[in-house]
Amino acid sequence: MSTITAAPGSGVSIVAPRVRATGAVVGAVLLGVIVVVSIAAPVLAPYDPEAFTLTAILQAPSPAHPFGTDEIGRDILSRVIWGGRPVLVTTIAATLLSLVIGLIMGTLASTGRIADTIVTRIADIQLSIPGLVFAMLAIALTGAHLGNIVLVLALSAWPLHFRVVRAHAAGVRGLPFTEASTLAGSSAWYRITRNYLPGVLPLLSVTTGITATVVALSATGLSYLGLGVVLPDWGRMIAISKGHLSDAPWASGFPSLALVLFLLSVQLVAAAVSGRARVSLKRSNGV
Amino acid sequence: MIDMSSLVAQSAPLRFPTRRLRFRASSVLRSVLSAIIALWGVLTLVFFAILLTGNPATLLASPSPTKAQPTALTAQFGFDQSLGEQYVRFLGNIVTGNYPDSFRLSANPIDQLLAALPYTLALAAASLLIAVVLGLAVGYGAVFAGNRALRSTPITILAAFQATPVFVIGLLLILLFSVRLGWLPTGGARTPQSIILPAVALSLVMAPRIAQVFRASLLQLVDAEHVRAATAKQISLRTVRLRHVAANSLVPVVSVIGLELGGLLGGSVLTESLFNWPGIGAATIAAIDSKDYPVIIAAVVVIAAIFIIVNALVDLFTVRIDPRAELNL
Repeated sequence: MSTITAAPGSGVSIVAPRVRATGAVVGAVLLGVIVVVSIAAPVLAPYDPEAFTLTAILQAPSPAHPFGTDEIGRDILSRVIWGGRPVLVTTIAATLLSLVIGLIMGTLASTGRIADTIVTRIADIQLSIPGLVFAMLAIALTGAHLGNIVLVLALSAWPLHFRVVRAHAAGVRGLPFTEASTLAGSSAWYRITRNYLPGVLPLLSVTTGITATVVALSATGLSYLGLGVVLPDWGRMIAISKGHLSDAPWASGFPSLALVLFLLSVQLVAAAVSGRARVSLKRSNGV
Repeated sequence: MIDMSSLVAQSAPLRFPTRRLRFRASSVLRSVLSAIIALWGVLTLVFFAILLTGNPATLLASPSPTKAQPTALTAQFGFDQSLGEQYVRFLGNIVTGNYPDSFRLSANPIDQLLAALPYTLALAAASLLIAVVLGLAVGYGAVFAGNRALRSTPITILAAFQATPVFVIGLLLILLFSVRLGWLPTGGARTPQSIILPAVALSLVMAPRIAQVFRASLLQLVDAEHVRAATAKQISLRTVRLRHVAANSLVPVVSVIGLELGGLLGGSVLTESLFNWPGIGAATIAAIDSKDYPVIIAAVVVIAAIFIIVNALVDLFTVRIDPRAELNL
């Protein structure tokens, strides 16, 4: 059985640090808070995130503006509350899309030798392209719409899922239960959904965690560079206010803090998920 | 007498599901061939990306084109011809460096980017050096440091940087060393010290990975048979750790550096933009901001070429420092 998990398992254990249960709890709570705040932004934000008051620019944190105001007098607290939405939506959508593409491609590759060679080549080309740089250039060429951003990020992330699915399918193909299933005259669809996929799900939870971390970082990088959607957004806020580091550090400081907490929570949850998946895999393999 | 074959098996390098497994089995020729195929794939993607934007001739002509310019471009790139013809011409023009001029600087985009190349390479080299030294030191300390706190604290702190975007790290560095202490410039490349902050910021992207991989790889080897044999021979602890454990643990580190090169390139774009470092990344961002499409396309090609060439070099280097890498696959 070890042949199934050897390749993906050993790689993941090196990438993901071992994090204790407290890390997982902290990460989950943080992420939960960020998601709830982002959903409830219209209710929670004290001001309109785009409303500006030119008489109150770059004000230090005060009771009226707990996080201060930016260079055209917008309330930073309100913008930080709203600013999580773009990166959350982008990360979730791009991660899920990459998962779907990876699953389809991996399944496709398991159907035959020629398909396998072609898809693996495409994945290799994709992997030889540095993600953020090409996301940046592709979006520069095609325009910064949410759909484009999600598609580009998903396209740079799918090979990871693909490799895991492909390796798993290759491992399962020779096993007695798959052969029995084939001999019993099961359809290809049945074999894919009942023989291949159930076993690969724990592995995909690991790759999904890794992908979410990478995609979230890339998405914030894009919005920092002004290639995100035009909305209040942490990365964009930092980029806009970075010139006022000496006279108004709060303007870039609070969005930075929110961004780092978000990325940290994603990473902690991902590490916890991959730790769990490894334990359950070990158990099911009797190692 | 110790069984030699078991020693080799014990100290076999960690296996990664890397993109280079295929490369590693190969000789120089295959590595180069793979690089060419990858470059071709990138160029094809660019070709279709341009087609998707509508009329490429108007895209590549400057924002206020003369009547003749789109027509001239159409002739140069053959936009009025069949798709296959266009594709061949496009590849030919790209390969021979035959680009439309940059809108902003009215110069060949390739020349413009090549002029910025030394800055990017200097930044990459400096940050790679810092990342390797820092990562190896912290990884080594995480396994061999005297007490528990020294083993766990530095690597945990470093891991936290992994969740921090490079531009946030950079802002913190600017806030501390430029704004508060006034020791270093906030950006630009006028003095030699200017490279310190961007290099440190960029190095903190890669150092955590190096530290983690080095630590994991050291831990796999501390109990290996050849290490126990060396200890039993009463070789000094330092020599055993450095020559028998650490030296053999470097292969996965080289692999991970290869894997992280993409991150380094992406990070260098963000870093250059934050610190106004006049490298390829900053030139690309400036081109994107002003919708200077010829430069954007040239940047895709130049960046892809650098990335793919360096990756091929890393593959060759991996085989060089560890001949087993070639034998294994």
